Amino acid sequence: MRVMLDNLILQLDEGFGMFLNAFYILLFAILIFYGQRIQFHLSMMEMGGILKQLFFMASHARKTSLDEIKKYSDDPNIEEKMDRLLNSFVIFPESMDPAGIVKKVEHIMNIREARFLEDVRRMITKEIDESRLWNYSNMLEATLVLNLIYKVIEHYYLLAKKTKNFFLMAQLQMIVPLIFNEAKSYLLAIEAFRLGTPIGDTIGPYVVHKLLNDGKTEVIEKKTDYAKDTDLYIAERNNRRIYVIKARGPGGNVGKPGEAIKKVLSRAKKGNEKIAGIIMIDAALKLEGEKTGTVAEGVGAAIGGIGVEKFKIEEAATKYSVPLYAIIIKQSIAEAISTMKKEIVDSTSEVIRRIDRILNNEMEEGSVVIAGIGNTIGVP
Amino acid sequence: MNTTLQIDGLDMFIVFTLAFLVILLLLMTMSRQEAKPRIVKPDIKTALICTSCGTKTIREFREGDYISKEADNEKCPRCGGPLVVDAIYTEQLPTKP
Ligand SMILES: [Zn+2]
Repeated sequence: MRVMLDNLILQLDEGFGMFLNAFYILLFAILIFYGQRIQFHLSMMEMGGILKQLFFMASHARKTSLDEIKKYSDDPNIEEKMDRLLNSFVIFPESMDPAGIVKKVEHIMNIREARFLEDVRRMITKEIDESRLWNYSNMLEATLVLNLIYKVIEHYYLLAKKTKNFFLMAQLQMIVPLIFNEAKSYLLAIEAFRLGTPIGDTIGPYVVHKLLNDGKTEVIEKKTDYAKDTDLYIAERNNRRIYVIKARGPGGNVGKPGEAIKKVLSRAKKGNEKIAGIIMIDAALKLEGEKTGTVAEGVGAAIGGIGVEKFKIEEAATKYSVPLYAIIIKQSIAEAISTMKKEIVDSTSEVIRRIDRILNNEMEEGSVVIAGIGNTIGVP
Repeated sequence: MNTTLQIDGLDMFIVFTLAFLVILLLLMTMSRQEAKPRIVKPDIKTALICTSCGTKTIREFREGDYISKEADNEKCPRCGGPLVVDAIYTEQLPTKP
């Protein structure tokens, strides 16, 4: 009896062992043949979650912008107008025959900027100061970008889902953490533009503003709107004539520094005045290991954006053979578009020291053009 | 009768590990989907500087502040002189990825 029972248990045990073995083999087979599909579904679930978050961010941005603009508007059709603006687009000129494309790009961008600002103006019904209007235009542009990020990611997600394309989904999964961080910084950018605080990119205009107001510079003349939305200050510093260029503030605006530099150089040429050099101050993207607010020097046109202004500066500098010096202040994308960090503010004195060094020791006789490049939000 | 249903130690271990992994996976995907991004308001400061004695004071940012703006209702705590906005900044970036 005892033996029988033991045998039975043993048999049962063996049966269970066999079952387990079969189960493992089955599992193995499933993983071999369906592994990718399982992975695909896992990826899809994860992407679905991220997409939801992006949607949440985009709609939060839209709501913030809408609430802000409603403070200055009682237009009943405001939502419709705003959505029209948020879904607007730019078609870039054909580059198959690239000769003269800069002019075409400039033309298109000028139209877009003007139209965007006018569209924002049309949304406003109450009295508003010009700088706030500019800030709102910047804010809506950031909202537009966030909306666009969401729509593009959604597009690839749905495409991968529809075609059950594992590799498309995997690619999306690889790139999405980077895009997600960028989306987060745009949310902060919206907050900065809403409040009108300087952003990291403002460091160029901020430095030249400080340079003009630190007591060592004597401003002789201020020419407002020397180029479109750009001011020129004619001044003396360290017994040298300086032409200081920055966008017109304190509204959010990058101006047309290229146009202004070109104009200064050509006028100096006509007046037989020697320009010894151009110093450009701009925020630049740091590498992940670099510290925020690090200052570095180099040569060339330190200016970002679509490239039109950069092209003009390089052309003018080459035409009149004027050396181009660049001083950059390093920061991440997130820092460049959100409220200025203290480390960036603190780099100001270092930048001014370097400008003085270049002015005093490293330049030939003659006037110097100093351009603060970037969005001048919060800096008049 | 001291030998009841015996499962090999290793099998037991594998079964439990598998179950554990499945539960972990479920939890992970569920938490991923539920997490909403926290929208953190940045803490913005305005640094004011006295035009007569150069004393710096720091306060919370107020809407309408911009660089070199003369502060309307504030006076220098040391000499009572007029204050202008020197800098506007955040101390930390609230995006921790
Ligand atoms: Zn004082």
